[in-house]
Amino acid sequence: MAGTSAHPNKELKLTSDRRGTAPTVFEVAALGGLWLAGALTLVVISVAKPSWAPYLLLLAVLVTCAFAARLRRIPLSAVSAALIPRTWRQGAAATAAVIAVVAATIRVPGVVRSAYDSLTGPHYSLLEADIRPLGTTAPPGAIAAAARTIPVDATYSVVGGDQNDVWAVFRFWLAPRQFDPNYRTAPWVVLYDDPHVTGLRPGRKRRLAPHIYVLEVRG
Amino acid sequence: MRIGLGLAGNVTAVLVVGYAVLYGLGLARGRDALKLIGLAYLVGWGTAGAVLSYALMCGIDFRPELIFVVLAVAVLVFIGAGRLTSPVPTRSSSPARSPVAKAGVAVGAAVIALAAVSALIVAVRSTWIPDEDTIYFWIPHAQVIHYSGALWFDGGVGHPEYPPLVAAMYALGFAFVGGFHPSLLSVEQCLLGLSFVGSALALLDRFVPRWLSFPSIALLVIAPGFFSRLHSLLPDQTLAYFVATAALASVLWLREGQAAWLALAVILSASGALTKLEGETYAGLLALILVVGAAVRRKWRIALLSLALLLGLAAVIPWRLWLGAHGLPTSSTDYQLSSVFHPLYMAHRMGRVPYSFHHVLGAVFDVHDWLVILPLALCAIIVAFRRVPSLAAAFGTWLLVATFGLILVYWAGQFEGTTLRDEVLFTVHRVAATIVIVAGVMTPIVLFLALEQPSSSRTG
Repeated sequence: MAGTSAHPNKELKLTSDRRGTAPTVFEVAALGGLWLAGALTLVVISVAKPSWAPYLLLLAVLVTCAFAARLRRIPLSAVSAALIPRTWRQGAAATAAVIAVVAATIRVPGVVRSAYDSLTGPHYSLLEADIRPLGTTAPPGAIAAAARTIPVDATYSVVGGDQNDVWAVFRFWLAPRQFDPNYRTAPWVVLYDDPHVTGLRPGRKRRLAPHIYVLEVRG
Repeated sequence: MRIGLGLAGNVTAVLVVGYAVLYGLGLARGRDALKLIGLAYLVGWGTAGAVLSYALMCGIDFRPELIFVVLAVAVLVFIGAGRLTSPVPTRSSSPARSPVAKAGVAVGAAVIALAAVSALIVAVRSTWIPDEDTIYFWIPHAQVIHYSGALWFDGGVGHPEYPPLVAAMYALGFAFVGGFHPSLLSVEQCLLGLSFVGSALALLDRFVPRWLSFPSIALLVIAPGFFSRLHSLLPDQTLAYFVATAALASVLWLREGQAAWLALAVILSASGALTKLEGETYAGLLALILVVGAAVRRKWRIALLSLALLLGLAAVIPWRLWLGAHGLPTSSTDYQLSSVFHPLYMAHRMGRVPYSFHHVLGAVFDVHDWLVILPLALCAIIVAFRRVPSLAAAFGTWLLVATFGLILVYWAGQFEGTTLRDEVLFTVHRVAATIVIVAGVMTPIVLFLALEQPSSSRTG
């Protein structure tokens, strides 16, 4: 990080006279081949040892930078000069940038893996993708069946199940149907987990899923 | 097909509003326009949300044709304003010259690109995240708007006092895709998150060298705490986008002296205040720090102009009036600011402080969630303290007050039906995100200003 003092960035200016001639085709091919072989080796190792992947990626980045420097004829002295800070503040800023780059690079395999898992994981239709997350609380099939059974303009209630979770999930999915917390007055009642309640009015009971029914109150 | 077109239409509408706002401010003209696409989307999202919220408060029905008219009027107003404003000059930081700096920029850019592509893949291929608050009230608020075309009158939804911007934008998404599809909101939220990343890079690039900005933003975007919440339908991270970008715009205003940046900060602060209740606190905190900082340095003009940031805070007044007019609670039922001023009440709850303190600090310094973002920010403050004491102090004060404010919420809060332990464990990691995200975008600025020649320093 030494160089042109007038520049606010305090970076070393690499003058063009330090650059040599352009690399030959043979050199490019040789370096490219070496790089490819090295990269493939690192990929193979990281597949065999996934926990090493972050550090192997870091190594790959360093190797790539070294190859790029070689191809662009950047002398080692220029690189080492750029690494020497002129002031302690510059050193601190450069250290912060290096720490940020290293910490970010190490995280890349985890992020790429999450994308890979998404790509290779199950594919959902739009409706499935909409309703499936509710499955942690209540069977999505039952929720979808309730939506198919209860008319959109109807009022309904839920009995049984946890009021905070199960009821919330049905209220979430069955909107814009009106929710009535009193099952004795609601014309439609979702009966969750065979609840033992008194005062249920007679009506037609339809099965939504095992132990989950919807009751259409008569009259 | 219908869904794809709907999503594209939504994105286009938000971009049109965003570019109109930027044009109105004198920004994004000429070759700068493409570079500011992220900022245009973020500002468009906030502005469209605010405009639709006010339209709903005025009783305008949330029907597609009326939405179009309302947004079109907003666009025309901003374009009209643009004819009165002078363009803000395009600026770019000088490119990296040393090979090491170039390598840092390249690796940082590659990490950001990989993270962005990965986030989009996850958003498109995965389902939405069913957080409790999402199911209880954030999406139900949007459902009410979507199905009834109006805001919630009857108080039948949870937390009716929460501001309506996010619900309005979710409902706009439903209107564009033609139905209630929460899974598509993940894609929209991911785009919003990436637009924030683009905004931060573009704004930083006006003066911060890329060898500092790219690694810092790469670290932020790939941090699990940020990346995993890119798809979240909870508005905590959305609030962080607005607060952090408002902070960046404020720094640009101090540095360049262009009123456009102050106006942008006001718009973003207002968007934040209409996103979540904490947004008001953050808007007020930003204004307070700028006013006090300028007053201490006897820069009275800046102190006076900084008061404009309070307009962001004032953006929620119509919402409070609307709530009051409809007999709904006008402030949070979980915590009251007034309770902080009751010494006996606070003393009685003193036992909550150590637990909250421990978990709030644990959340912001959590290496698994936020890697080393906050430690780097604190180092940056130390490095910059001699060279730019005002900026370093302002940044440090913001971090300190925001962290203490969070502890104060747990200290004074009365969370109905839940224990302090549950409340802290459920919420602390997401509500603390704003603090770390602001730290992440401010660190490169503070570091750069510490390096800058004293003669050319204008911000510190």
